[in-house]
Amino acid sequence: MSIVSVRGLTRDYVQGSIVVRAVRGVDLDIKDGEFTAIIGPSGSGKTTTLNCIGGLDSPTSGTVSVDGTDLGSLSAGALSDLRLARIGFVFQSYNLIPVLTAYENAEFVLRLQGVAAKERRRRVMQTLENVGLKGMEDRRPSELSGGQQQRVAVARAIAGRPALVLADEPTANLDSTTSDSLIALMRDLNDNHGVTFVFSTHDERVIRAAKRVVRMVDGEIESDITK
Amino acid sequence: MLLSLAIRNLRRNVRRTLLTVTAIALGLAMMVFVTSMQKGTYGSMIKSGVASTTGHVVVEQATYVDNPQATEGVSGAQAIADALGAAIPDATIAQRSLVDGLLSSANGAVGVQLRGVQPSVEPLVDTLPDKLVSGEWLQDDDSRGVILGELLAESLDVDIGDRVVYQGNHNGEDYSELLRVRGTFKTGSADIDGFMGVVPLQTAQKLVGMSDFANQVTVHLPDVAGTEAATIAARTALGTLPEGVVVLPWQESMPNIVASIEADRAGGVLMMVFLGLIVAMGIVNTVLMSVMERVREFGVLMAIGVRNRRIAAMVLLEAGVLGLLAALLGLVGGLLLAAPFIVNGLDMAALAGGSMEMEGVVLDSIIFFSIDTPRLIVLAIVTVVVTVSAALYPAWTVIKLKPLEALNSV
Ligand SMILES: Nc1ncnc2c1ncn2[C@@H]1O[C@H](COP(=O)(O)OP(=O)(O)O)[C@@H](O)[C@H]1O
Ligand SMILES: [Mg+2]
Repeated sequence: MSIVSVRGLTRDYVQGSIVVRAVRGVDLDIKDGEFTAIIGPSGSGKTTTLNCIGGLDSPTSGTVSVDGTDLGSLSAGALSDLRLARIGFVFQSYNLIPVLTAYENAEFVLRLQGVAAKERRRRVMQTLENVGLKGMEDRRPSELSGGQQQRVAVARAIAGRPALVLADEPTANLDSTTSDSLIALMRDLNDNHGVTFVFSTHDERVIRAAKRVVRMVDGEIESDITK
Repeated sequence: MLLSLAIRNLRRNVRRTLLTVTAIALGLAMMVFVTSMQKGTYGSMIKSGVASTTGHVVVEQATYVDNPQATEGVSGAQAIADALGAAIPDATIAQRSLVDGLLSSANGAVGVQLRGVQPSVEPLVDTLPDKLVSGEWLQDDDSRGVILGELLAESLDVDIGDRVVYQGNHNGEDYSELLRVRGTFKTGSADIDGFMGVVPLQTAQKLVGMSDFANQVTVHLPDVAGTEAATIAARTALGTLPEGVVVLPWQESMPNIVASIEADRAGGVLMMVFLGLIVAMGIVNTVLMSVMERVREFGVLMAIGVRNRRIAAMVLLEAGVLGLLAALLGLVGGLLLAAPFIVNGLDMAALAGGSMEMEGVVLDSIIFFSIDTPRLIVLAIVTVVVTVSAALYPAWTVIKLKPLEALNSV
């Protein structure tokens, strides 16, 4: 069974008298272990699609199911709980809680999930090591570079062992070297730890690392290629 | 977790946090100061009232509270005083009367009130004997002696040793008596200094044509806290009393003083509410601002699965911590401000430009502030409650946030 199943997803934004159809009837399935890039020009509906999958936005019509549960049937609180348990997020920028250290940011989700202290510590230390931040546990976001901050964001997203990590243009604010190494990290987590990623990008170098590439144009899926 | 996050959020903008805490604390400190002054003033009012009028417990006619008449009182006053003295060993028992009439000298006549007191007992219970400005206090066997208020002596144009004549009508009979001025006193109250004299109790009895009689037999305790116990002890010891005679604690024998304290306290509460509202408005603003600045951050929290309610709870918690800090600081600050006046007192007479008088009782000119512990506890709790309440509206805006709107806000 797919982790995510999107059927006929349409999302309209109303601005005054103008209706912008951001996504037009998208069908998409994401399976466990995928490493999928959603690509396409700016305004093609990538962010809207990811937000609907993550339950941050709701479809105008169509359905999004995660683990077989239709998100449209959930209350705001239940959606919140589903995100906590099943979905990790990485945003373009300004992701982290500024008053918490790298360690605490990664630990935050585990605390919310009610993981025991000892287990928490073990998992956070392991995760931070996996994302290459060993020794930087006590730094605040403001004491980290942009690339390092995104690594903390990835660590936070995967620490809670979600079924899937959604990353909306995670490299958009990074220089090419840093973005290469971030995407390599994500791919490594996918290859060696089985973390499922769906990310949007319009960076060619990032696209090359993807196993499956979904191309969107004007709110529709133009092509869907699995390498 | 929420608490530690809340504390860190407060530390993020130290300047704003300190400013807010200081503003709340200042308001509270002011209240603590005023409350301590009020408690001191009330204590002084009660002390002066008890000392110069009814004692902590009084035996008198039930009608005397509302309508004091020179001939209304307790017959067999000495036996009652003895019984009270035996029943309440650590109390001082006094007998007192108040007689009105006309005092005249060669130079004029003034309508006056004469206090009949036991010359050897009165200095133990009241401060009036300390307020002589000329002459000497009365002697027990000096039935002709009178002490006059300084202004009264001036009006009558009499000096120590001069004669004055008392004239009065009680129960339809005329009385007159020749008295000699032994001294003058000054309380600072024009009413008392201008129209009051003091005579020995037996003279007062003679002036109304009675013997072994006093308007009041008063019980003076070393501590006001013993009033209730002493009232019960007095009632038990005296058993059945003559028709119309009652045993009253000071709260019932000085209803005017109690009422004016209540009124003043109510005024204090009003001021508290007013100040609380002003402080609350300031806090609503500050908390709202700190929430607005963090909407995007709240969006991230929501995205990773924190329910809106928990974020709102964090905002309330931040306010709670602010309130708690302010309560502590305000209490300490207010007490520090009040401390010099608790120790050395405040010279109200100097401030008011004359002596303070309330309900016919002259207050000590130096008021010693006093810590009103129950009220301070209420004030501290109210501070925290007001602060948290002020964060309710900002917290409500957080509850209503949608994750995407929050994430997209700048
Ligand atoms: N909140 C919104 N209100 C109005 N229009 C929006 C909103 N979000 C997205 N859109 C519009 O929807 C379209 C798709 O946007 P988006 O999903 O962000 O595309 P992408 O991420 O591929 O750049 C764009 O035309 C954009 O202007
Ligand atoms: Mg986008």
